[in-house]
Amino acid sequence: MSRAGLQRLAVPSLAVLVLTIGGSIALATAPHLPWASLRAVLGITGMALVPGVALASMAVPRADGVVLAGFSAIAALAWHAALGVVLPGADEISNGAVIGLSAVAGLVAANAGALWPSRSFEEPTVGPGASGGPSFQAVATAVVVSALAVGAVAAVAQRAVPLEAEPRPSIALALPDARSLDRSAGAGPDRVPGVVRVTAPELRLPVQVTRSGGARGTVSLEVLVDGAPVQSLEGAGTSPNAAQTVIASVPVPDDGCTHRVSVRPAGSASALDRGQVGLLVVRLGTRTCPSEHTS
Amino acid sequence: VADVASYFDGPGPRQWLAMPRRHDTSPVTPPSPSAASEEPRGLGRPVVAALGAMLAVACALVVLSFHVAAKARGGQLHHSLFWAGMLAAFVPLTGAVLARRARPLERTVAVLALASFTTLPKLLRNFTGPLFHDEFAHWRQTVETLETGELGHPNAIVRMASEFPGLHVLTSNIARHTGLSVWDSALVLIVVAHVIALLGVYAFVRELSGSSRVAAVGAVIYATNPSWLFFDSQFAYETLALPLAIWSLVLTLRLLRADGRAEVVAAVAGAVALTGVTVATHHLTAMAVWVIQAVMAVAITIRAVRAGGRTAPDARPARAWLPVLAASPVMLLFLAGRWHALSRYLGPSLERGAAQLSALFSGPGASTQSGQHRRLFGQTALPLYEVAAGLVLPFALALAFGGALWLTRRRWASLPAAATAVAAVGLAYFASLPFLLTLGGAEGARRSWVFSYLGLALVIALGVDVLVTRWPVQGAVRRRAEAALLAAGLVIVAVGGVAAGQNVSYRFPGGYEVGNDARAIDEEGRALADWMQRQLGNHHRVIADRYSGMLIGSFGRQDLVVPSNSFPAWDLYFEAGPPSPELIDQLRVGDVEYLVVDRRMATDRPGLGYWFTGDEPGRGGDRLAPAAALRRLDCLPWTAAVYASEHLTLYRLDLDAYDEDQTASISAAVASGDCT
Repeated sequence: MSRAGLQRLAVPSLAVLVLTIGGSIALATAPHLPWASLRAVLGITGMALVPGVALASMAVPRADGVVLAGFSAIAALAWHAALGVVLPGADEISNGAVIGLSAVAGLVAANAGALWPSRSFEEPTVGPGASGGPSFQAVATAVVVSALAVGAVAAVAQRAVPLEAEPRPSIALALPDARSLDRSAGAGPDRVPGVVRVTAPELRLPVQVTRSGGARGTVSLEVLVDGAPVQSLEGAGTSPNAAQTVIASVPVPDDGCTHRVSVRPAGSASALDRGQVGLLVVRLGTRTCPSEHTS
Repeated sequence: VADVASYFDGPGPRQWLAMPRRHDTSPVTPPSPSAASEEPRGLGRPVVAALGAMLAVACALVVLSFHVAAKARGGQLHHSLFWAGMLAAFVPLTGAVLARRARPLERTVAVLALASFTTLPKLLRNFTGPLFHDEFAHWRQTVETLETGELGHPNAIVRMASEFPGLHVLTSNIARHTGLSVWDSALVLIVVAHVIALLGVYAFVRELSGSSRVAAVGAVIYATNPSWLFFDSQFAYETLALPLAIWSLVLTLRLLRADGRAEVVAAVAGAVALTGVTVATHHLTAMAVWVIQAVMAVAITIRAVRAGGRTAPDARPARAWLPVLAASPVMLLFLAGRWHALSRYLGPSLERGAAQLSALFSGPGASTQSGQHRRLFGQTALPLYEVAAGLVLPFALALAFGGALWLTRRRWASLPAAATAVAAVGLAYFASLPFLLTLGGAEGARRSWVFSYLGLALVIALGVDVLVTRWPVQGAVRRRAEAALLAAGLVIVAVGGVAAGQNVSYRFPGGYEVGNDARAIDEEGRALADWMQRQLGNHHRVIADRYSGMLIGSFGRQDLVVPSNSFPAWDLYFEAGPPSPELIDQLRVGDVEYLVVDRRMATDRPGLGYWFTGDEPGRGGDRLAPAAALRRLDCLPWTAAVYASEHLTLYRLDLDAYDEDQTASISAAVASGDCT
């Protein structure tokens, strides 16, 4: 390698060292930093190591670029080895895959760097429009900058004005733990194999309220058993687009009948007023009871 | 920074052919002294500032279009705003790259700006999480990779996602190493991939044409392809595979003019490595890039044979075949192991498409009887002008393609043989058009356009270049007429491309629509998915319709079991009669634990025409699921509702409690209105 080549290599080599050491320190300490975004930036910088080395190879003549190709691959391995140290529990398969992909990407990019710009560097271009173009580094930097810019535009727009239709309100009713229900056979004279057997007179039904679209404040709900209100609930104010779960103990007669439990917003002024929703059929037996509904 | 000439605007073939080569014994024509004096002046600061301002206005208009769409209750103002924004970027940037005085640097920046700008609509559409069908599959796959470190987790939303892990490995590692969420990591990756892909098209056409103007115009034309704005910007394996494939093609072209052994080895290694990574990322893209490389090699071989003993500038067939042959083992090894799954995944669509096309050409009666033809823009919510542009698009492209071939007829002999091959690839676009009329082949036809548009972009850009080059010696009237024609053509291909590529529900936000993919995603389904993940844990086997399934199979972290002709679980929803004992056996063997029912099945038809898959009975018809079939699930002893919201109910299956006679009697009773 020529002296001039070595001099050119010095800058990207220094960059590689700074990136490797800086990135490793960042990753080692980032979990303790309060700024998650800083960690993200530093982590992305570290991830950019391999293409960074490859891009650096564009700045050197062909022969030096080939050297940098190997250097790039080694740097990739070193980087991921460092990750394995500073990220305990990092999975071997996943890291192995990324090491392979990074090494391949590094080699490809570095070889590409060895192939093209060195030709241009050593052999001046000819003809109209053949010179005056951007360097590869400039293009790569512009890619990152433009990607950040378009991401920033989208992020700012997202916060500035609503870009999604207001979500439909939703109320759901669920059994607390479906797995704990005793669905064993032969629990009593009124019971047949496979039906739900509830031994307590009260069945705890968690009511999940999902509110979206910016509504805040309290939502009043009432739980119905076989169409009759049995309990009122107060759902505390939630933040927009957040789901809130309210747990209620709803009394369901343990009479061996099939009962229908549902929930609806209390009152009629609520935007959630869509009538009786979240209808669950709770079968306690097979008896035909007067209160049963089939619709 | 060392003073290097640009990679992007390094010597193209025209300049390259004029360069002395070590082993080239042919006479060399030195570059004209006047050539150096034709250095373009540059656009100038006022023009650049105006372009920047137009881009800002364009961004604002596109943002506004999404805002209006989100608030709209009918009306199509958002479409108009969207196109005002898109064309506010497309038209000025195209004008800038066409300008004679534009420098290559400025053209590269213009392409970069266009690439970034065309990412914006998709970012605005779902900045906070997956929304498109395939995005749910790849998000889930990435989460599994991130959490378990294992590749190949079965994925029922997109079955082949588990076999091609490139995207998931990269995304999960970005998330792991940066602390970003999986979705934010996905956004970083797809934005960069999208931008690099269009720069790759620029480099590709630059290699073939030797002109930065042709290359930039080619990139603009490519950016109008129907998949570019939305499909190729989604978080899916195609989005990552596309730039890999395009750059593999660029490397293949570089190989043809590589000088010296080291350069050849480097180029081959690069092209093969990129093809290899493409193979690990997406099946069809890998096959397509391999085919295009092979077609280029054939064209180069033919030219070399025709040239005989004479020295042809790019007559290096051995080099042309190197990437093809070197990538073949990679292709064979990787794809052969997945061939069975691939054939099951792709085969039915190919067979259906071919059969339906055959029926179509057998006469209108045959295709109508089969009920498998489709009407273009049937039941579309697009504005009339978009539909018109979409219908005119193939004709406009045919006219442009044919006209460009005519205008450039004397130029092809001086272009690399690979350019002829790429032009031939462009013809695949027209060959794919009849498949649009079939239900089975329409999707495949659309998927092929990301590759055939490479050929269209090259040929049409060459034609535009010839046209514009004549302007200085033409009269003002003709020049203006041609400019207006070009602008009109750009508008038609841009508007028609998007209209043909993506339906409204994917493009714009709006109110809930039953069974209409991106519009069928709502808080009710998300609440169910979250509840399942939180309450039941991961990896339960669940049957759900396509729309609930997207959420349950991703955020819900459940393993979907998809009905099919051989596993007709849709009978549980669509037939009021008792399910067959064979189906019950299949449910038992398949360890199906839960069943999700959307009660709108009894009241609405899905927007896409089916609830589960395109194979289900009654697809596209107007038959509703019998209410009794859904109501029956509240009565059967082997199905118990554990979660219910306004429309969605989750049933836990207890197949040990299944009794054939009891099920039959309950089914009959429910059909007559009783639940005993």
